[in-house]
Amino acid sequence: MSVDTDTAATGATTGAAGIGIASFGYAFGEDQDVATVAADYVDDPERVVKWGYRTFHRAAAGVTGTDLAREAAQQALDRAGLTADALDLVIVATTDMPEYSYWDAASALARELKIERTQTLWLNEGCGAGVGGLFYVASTLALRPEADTALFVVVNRVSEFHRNRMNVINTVLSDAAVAVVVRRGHDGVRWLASEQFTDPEYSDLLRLDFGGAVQPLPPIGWTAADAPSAYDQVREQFSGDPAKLRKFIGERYVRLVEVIDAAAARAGVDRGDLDHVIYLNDVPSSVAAVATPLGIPAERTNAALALDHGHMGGADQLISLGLQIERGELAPGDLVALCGISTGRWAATLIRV
Amino acid sequence: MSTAPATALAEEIRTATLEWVAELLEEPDVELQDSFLELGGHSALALQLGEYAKERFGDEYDLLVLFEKTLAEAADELTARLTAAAHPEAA
Repeated sequence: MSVDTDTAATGATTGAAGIGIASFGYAFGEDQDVATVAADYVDDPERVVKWGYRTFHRAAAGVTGTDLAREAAQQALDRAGLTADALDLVIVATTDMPEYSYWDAASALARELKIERTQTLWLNEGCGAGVGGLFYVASTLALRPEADTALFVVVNRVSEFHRNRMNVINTVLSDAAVAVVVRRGHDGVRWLASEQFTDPEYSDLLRLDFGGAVQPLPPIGWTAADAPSAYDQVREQFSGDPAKLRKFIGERYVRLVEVIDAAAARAGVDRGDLDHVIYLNDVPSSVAAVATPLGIPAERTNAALALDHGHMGGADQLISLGLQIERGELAPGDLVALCGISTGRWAATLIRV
Repeated sequence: MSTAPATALAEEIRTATLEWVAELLEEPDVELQDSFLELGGHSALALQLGEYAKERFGDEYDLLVLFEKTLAEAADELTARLTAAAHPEAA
């Protein structure tokens, strides 16, 4: 937890500039072959296979999101050569159903790591959390010059009671966690800027009606297998208004470019400077819909890697970033845009590898 | 279920729809009674399909029809709108 005086001064005067990801850690559920198991989830498995995913990860029964988070966190700490008592901040983002009510995933992870006291924050939102969450790491370090080391963990552990992982959106939902150790003064994989905005009109787009205070229990006989897909919910929201639906679908991509541009402006770079774009692990054509307007070809995205992992919620982007660095697909100096969408929230973070 | 197309434009739009869906979904055996979503279509491809239609015919598919009904019905709905726009007095 010791802080170099010069580094702290830099952090205090220039915000969080000068922070970088010192290490990555990962935890994945067990590999599942999409083509083999799709029929266990949907009546029309050929539709799912057509999306192109080869593999997804399914946590074994009894393996919780916190278990995945702990495994990823410990690997990131080990790779950074740190112990958990070095952490000034622990932020956890969960992007599926929480394990419990009246409970805190960040506090639970800190306890699992045997931390006696630290600052924590739990983000419980959608699939942009791994991108937008870096803002809270950066802003906290900017406002706390005595802090120099943060752990940011994103975990997606699908509750198959609540969700049919092959019939929510056009991806196969997958179980995994990623952890990054972020350090002030770390010169590689540097955070440059994060930007996000929310359009509250879409707050209810993926809402599950029960499980909360308004309707604690599901209807009798309800199962995830029969739950409406996102398309069903989209149809309901936009019923009778095709222009509004067209606007929504088009805006998904336009706004990603918009939020990347905003992050680039904040970082003092231009979209033309981007070398690589990492979106959530959507189907290749969706990744292309984000990358193409930025002039980025498919091989400079996460499109290929996505098909071997499925959509790991908010963990997608940081897992892709780490794996693509480790595979040599990203080189030192590359400018990478991470981007994603939560329910009604668009987020982008720029990273200089 | 849609009836057979009554005009050359309807036939042209149906044929183009089949060609575009086959191309975008890399699915050679597309039929008019198929459903875009059940073939593996999704929102990004629907946007591309709409752009193809707008470039060639001047307007896009109704996405609600494309997502909920058959390719024939999506094509015929587009034909109906284009025809109505070209002959507003007949509407």
